[in-house]
Amino acid sequence: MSAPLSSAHSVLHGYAGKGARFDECVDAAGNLRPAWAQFFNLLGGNQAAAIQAATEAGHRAIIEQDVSMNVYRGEQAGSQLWPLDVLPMLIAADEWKTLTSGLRQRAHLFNELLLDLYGPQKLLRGGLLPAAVAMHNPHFLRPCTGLGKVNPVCLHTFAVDVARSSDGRWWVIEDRLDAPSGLGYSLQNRIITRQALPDVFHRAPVQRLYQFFHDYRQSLENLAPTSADPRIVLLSPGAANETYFEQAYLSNYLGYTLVEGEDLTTRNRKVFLRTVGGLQQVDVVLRRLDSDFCDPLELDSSSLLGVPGLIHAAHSGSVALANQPGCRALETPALLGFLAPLCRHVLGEDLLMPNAATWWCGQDKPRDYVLENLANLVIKPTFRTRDSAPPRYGAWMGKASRAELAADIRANPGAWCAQERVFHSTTPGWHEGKLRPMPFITRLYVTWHDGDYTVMPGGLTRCNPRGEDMIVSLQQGSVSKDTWVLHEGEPATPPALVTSRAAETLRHPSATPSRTANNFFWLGRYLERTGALARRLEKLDALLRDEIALLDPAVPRDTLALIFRMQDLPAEGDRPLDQLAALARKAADDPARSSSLAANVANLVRLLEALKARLPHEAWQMIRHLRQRRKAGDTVACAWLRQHLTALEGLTLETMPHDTGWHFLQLGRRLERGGQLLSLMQALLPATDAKAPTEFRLQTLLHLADALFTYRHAYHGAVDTAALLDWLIVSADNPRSLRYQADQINYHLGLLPAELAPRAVAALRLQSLRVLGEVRLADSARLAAHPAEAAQLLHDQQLHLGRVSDELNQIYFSHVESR
Amino acid sequence: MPDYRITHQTVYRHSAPAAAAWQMLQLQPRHETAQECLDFQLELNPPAPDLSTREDFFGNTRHYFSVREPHRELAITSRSTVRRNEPALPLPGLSPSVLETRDRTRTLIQGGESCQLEQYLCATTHVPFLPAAAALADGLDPAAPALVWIEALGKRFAETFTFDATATDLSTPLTEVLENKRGVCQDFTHLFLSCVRQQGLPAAYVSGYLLTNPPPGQPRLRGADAMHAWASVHLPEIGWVDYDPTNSCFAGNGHIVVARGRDYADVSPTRGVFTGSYSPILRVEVTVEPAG
Repeated sequence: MSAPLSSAHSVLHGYAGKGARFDECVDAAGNLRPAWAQFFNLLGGNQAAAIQAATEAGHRAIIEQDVSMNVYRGEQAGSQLWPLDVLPMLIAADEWKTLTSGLRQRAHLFNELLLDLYGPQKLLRGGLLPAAVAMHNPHFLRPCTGLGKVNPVCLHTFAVDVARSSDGRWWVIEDRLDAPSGLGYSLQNRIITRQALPDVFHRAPVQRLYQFFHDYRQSLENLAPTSADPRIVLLSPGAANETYFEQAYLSNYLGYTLVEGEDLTTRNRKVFLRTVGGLQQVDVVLRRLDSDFCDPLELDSSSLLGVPGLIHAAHSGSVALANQPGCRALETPALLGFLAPLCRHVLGEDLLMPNAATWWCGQDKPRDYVLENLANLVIKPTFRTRDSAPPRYGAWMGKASRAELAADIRANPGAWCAQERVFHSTTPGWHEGKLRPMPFITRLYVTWHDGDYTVMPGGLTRCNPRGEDMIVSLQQGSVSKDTWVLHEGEPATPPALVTSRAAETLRHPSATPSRTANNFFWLGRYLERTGALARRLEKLDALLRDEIALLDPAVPRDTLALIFRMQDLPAEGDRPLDQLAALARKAADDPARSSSLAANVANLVRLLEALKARLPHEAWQMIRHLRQRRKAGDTVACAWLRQHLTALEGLTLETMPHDTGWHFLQLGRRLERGGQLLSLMQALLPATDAKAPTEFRLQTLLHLADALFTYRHAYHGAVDTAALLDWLIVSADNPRSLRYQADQINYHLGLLPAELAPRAVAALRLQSLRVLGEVRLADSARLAAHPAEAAQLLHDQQLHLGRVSDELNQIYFSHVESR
Repeated sequence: MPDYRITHQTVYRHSAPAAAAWQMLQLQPRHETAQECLDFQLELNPPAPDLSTREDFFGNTRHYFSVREPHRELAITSRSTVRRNEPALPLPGLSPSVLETRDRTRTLIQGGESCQLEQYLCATTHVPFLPAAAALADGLDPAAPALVWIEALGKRFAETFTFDATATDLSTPLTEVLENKRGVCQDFTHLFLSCVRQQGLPAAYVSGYLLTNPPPGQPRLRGADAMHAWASVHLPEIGWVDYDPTNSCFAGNGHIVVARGRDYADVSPTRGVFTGSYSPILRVEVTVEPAG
């Protein structure tokens, strides 16, 4: 069934497998394999151009959606764009059958092994597994013993890295049992690849992923101990984690609340989510936090990421954890050498999926074999910990370092395992405008569903563009691919996604976690604060160079004094204006100064990152821009910054649900805007009637308040103090006025949940209505005539805004600290 | 068959109020062949509404509770009544040799049934395998009966180390104890375990209480005692034998067992997480007195 390799014009010209390695695309005789023949066929005439165009489309999509991963090591540490090659890895239908049955069996086997390890330990007592593999194992978490009695699905989601060796067989390279990553990235890869290669994807018989995710979601719901409408949360290690992006992505896709340890609390052996509406019981925790970090009370006490009491709650059966903590105990390669006999003993079947031959040096014979064959083996530590050595390839080591390793093995044989080297097969990848064979590894996912395990028809393929080595790690320059599992025959019609429950039962209205609400509140504040500071700095140049300013130098001086105060700079008195402006700009660029423009932007970015999962995708690209911003306080940079802030403001208004989190965002914004306006007026309006403000002063004030344009429309150009006070304080039509902020604050306060502290909330609303209401009654003509009264009003309102903010924090966020 | 009454009070004091606390306790004396816990009462202040218990992997009883109100002080008081017998101890001269114990233990573990002994042969955070700790047994005859060998090792501990309650705290590394030759029961027990495990004998950490007698003519001081710790070595056929390296003696009817594990971390009497407070001051008072 193989097709001949096409002509010299073809994109495949010059493509050949690497030595003895199996190639997914071309067979040993140089013929295209059927799956790839079909792929290239669907790609159409100019294949190179088609692939190049798809590559560019994919790259654009990644930038637009800011698909990223955090890199820990090396110079590039920090957030990086997700590396994706839009050419998929193809798995033919018949091979998929073999893989599926092997993986399902393996999942069943591991679950039984876990139930035994954390239960009766019959396999250890029967000598089927060496005691040291469990008893020396730092990942065997004794407090988890007995959890299987409460919930017999220890292993809910299981990931397996597979690769194909030279003989064409698939092998297990590594098992991931604890909190496997990559499901979200797989989904994201699929969506981007499908968009980049729409014609090929829709015409090729590619198995779709909907059904798997439908099953996945349902099976998590079924884990819930009691509730018919369970609350499920995805427990994340936080934004610094390497795969935080996909945790946020996955939680969004599945519709689960993304939480961190501090969002949860335990009492009476139950787990609760802290929300602004009070505590809400959690039924299922989809755990992406490493087992040992889960509970500082019973596990690693240094963990700041966990939930104290979580393990004890799990023992009571009030909450299900998926996966159950402790699964990582079986990630040790020492187990692999015993897996085949264990499979026969436990399941009564032969092990279907082979893993690379593995020797555990804790036994004499294997140890001797390993020492004799060191040059041909891959040496790994038996138990991988945060500071354990990476795998080492005997073939690449010099004589001296091999001897050193041998000495290490002899000194503590049980700590070492060796595996035979599997030469991974290659698959075509697009690299620098050419098709190249790249060795790869594919992560496949298995999940518990309805009494059995089911395999996702897809996966996360990673390959190495340098084409050489065995280490395939995205942390070290590899790229990822979508994985297409092919149907036999015609593509089946994709199943319609049917939700079994009515939509209203899926809504959890006041489920905004307190920490999230707090972040939204501060996001609002920082958006405004950064905007106000950027605007002041942006207008500085014009202000200094204006010819009228030369006649009225007190105006730029007062403005600079305000900028100094905003950035916590000590007043510099009588220095020349140019020097003051330079100082203000220098401070603006200094991220170490806590109130500088740079620090404000850093805080803004931190909050945006933390809230990413709740922001529209369009905002993600904006976050990327802000992160990469040229840090400068000059006019152009400030104008750029303000444009982005304005765009973000628009996005938050029009593309976010107007839910509780959004109300907090608006409250933060309105309180800050009101406060900034009051400081500005206090800085530029004289507090006594000694001297009436110049027109230039009033214009500058309006300009800095972003209200000059609207003022001119409303008052036809004439600028005087009374009209200005009317426009900036009393007017309900000016979105920059104090009155407008007051109305908005009262409106949003009225919509916050009150269950947490009904009386305090009622009191806050009442007080706010009363005090902010005074603004409506202010008489601008009188205030203009009596500057001291105006100053008093500004002062009182400033105090009041502070009080509303404090009260709000006290009611809704203080228990964030108190857990 | 003496009975003892033990009062154990732990007080956490915070400089700023702690908003909440979660605690895990291992204070309830074990039921063992030589020991019966007749009564156990726990008093918590502020009171905790959700006290519950669970048995841990090693068969110790753990208590769990949380405090959800802001508090400056958390007081945990346990009162136990324990009946303790003199443990049956074989004549030291009749025990299997160290070499025999090591080999037979290996075989027992490989057979599977005694697989759990393996964990008492490992290095842990508190019991690192220091060569200097192994060297404490240098020159002792491994062909001697194990209990005789243990007594000889204990004698060396008495000659080498000085008990000094001010020399160390929970975070002092064993290397420092070896260097300064001063420490408390915990340090000596961890050191003893490191030495014995490196010889291939499975050995466990025991936390408990010891009846101390006031100097003649003086009254017993309340709260003057502390928790005690000692080691337990497993010998084939004989089973676990408790040895107290601090006092260079086998555990007798004054050694009251609370919990057993691999090292201090498995059996720490109180373990807690507080919010809003970072370094509470801890005060512990223990009184052990004969009952009745």
